[in-house]
Amino acid sequence: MIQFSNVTLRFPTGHDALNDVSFTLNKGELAFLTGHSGAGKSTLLKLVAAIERSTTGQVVVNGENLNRIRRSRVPAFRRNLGIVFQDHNLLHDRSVFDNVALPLVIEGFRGEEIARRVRAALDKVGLLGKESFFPVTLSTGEQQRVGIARAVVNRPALLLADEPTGNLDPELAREIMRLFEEFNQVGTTVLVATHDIELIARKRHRRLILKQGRLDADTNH
Amino acid sequence: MPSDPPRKPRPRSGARDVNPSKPLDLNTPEIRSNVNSTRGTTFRAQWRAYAAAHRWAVLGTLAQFRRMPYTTALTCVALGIALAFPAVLFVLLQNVQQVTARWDGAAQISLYLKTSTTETQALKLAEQLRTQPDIGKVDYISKARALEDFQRYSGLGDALALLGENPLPPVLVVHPKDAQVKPDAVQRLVQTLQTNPAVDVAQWDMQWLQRLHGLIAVGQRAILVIGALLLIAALVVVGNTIRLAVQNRTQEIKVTKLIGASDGFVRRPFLYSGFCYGLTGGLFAIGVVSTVLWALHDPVHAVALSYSSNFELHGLGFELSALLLAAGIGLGLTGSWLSVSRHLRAIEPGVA
Repeated sequence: MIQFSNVTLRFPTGHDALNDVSFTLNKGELAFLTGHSGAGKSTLLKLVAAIERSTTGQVVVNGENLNRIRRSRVPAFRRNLGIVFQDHNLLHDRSVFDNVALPLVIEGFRGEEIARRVRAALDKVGLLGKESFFPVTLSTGEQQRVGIARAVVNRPALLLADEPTGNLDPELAREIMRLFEEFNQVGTTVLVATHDIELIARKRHRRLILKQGRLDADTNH
Repeated sequence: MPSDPPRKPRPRSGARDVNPSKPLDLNTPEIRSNVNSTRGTTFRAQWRAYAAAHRWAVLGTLAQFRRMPYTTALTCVALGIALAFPAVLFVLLQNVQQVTARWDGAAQISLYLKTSTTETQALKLAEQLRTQPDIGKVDYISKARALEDFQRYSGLGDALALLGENPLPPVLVVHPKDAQVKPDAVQRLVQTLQTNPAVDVAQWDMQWLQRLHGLIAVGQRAILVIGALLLIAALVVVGNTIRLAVQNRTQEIKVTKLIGASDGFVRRPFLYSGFCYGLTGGLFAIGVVSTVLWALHDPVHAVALSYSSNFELHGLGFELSALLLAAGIGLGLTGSWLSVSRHLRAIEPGVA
């Protein structure tokens, strides 16, 4: 699903955000991307989402070579990704329903189908009944779950999450992580970037540890 | 490398419409049965999808108006005035043309015959002229009749009595056949008549009409230039408003692009805004033009009456109103298209 081959990303300042990173994430895997802030976690996710392009090395995601992808292909490529952001990135002048519906609207689903899928996704994250709320009226944890519902509503092949528990208390954080595990259990490939080592310490999942832009360790517990 | 093998066979890939069986709890049988129809090729299904996408765009447009109500109103007003100004000039000029068209019909040429011409000769010439294809009517005014008219209308009759002899020449008044004859055609007729040996002076009484036509042509050109300048100004105003709107929604645009929205999807609400600006501006322009014409109507009518004319100021009319609306919508759409295309590319997720 994700294949990095000797990937380096050098900023114009000369600083290497990622340095010679190679790894493969297979279909259906769940992996955590950890490391101190500034270690390159967000940069790696940006490469996967075709937000940044690598300076050298090759990035292949979902069969698409992102070094060569045409600008016009990027939207279609991203429709196969679900992205969860640390700061939710919800649209504040749209209702919860409309926020979650956005990926389906973009993909060209019709109204009834959109409604059905949005309710299913909200049900999954435990927010059914809050469709007509606006994001600001929800708690941080609820907003994050809306963000997750939006990321999974179109059943992406790959789910990316950048510090999804960053602003949450431990209890909520565990709940969110459980959600990711559940999605993974039904087949979605999941890559979660987090600096919350404690949260994942007891979990037996693959861990990619970044240190100053290098892949320091690739462990299974 | 992963120790856990994949837990389940996964039928998913990028080609989601090929294989509808999906994971997650979302995959209820009810939903699964509908997957194939979601992006169906039937017109109805496509229309529904289209409607969903457009509902989204309309909501975005409305949110945009709510967020910047003053800028929105000002843009519509500016667009309206830019449209109304040339439109008012155009309508007024059209009215002038209508008036002068009536005068064209009254175009007449006075042939002052040589004073030695006898009445028989004059009548014979008149008869001869009537047979010409481009001449409709010829009136003969004898020396005596001319004197009579002069005495009656000029108030200088007593002065003429001092001269003893009637100094006025006989006159033939020639009316061109075609009521809407063109000024240069009349001019040609005058030149031909002038060559007749019996004619002393051939005078076109409405020569100033020609000059008026010239002035109208200048006016038309001026309106074209002013209109073009205001059109550019309107484009700039709309473009600037849309630029502000794009900046206001930078975050939203980044998010939608990250979710996989195409440029077209992101552009749509802004085009709707442009359309609304154009429509409102066009309606506003129609209102302004109608108000101006209404304000001018009574004074113009009073002036016309003093010239014993029944002239009424003509209004905008349906066609011109439709044209104004279309021009407004065209301007709004073009302005927003240019602006949004220019500014959208710069907004990419990840680029601060």
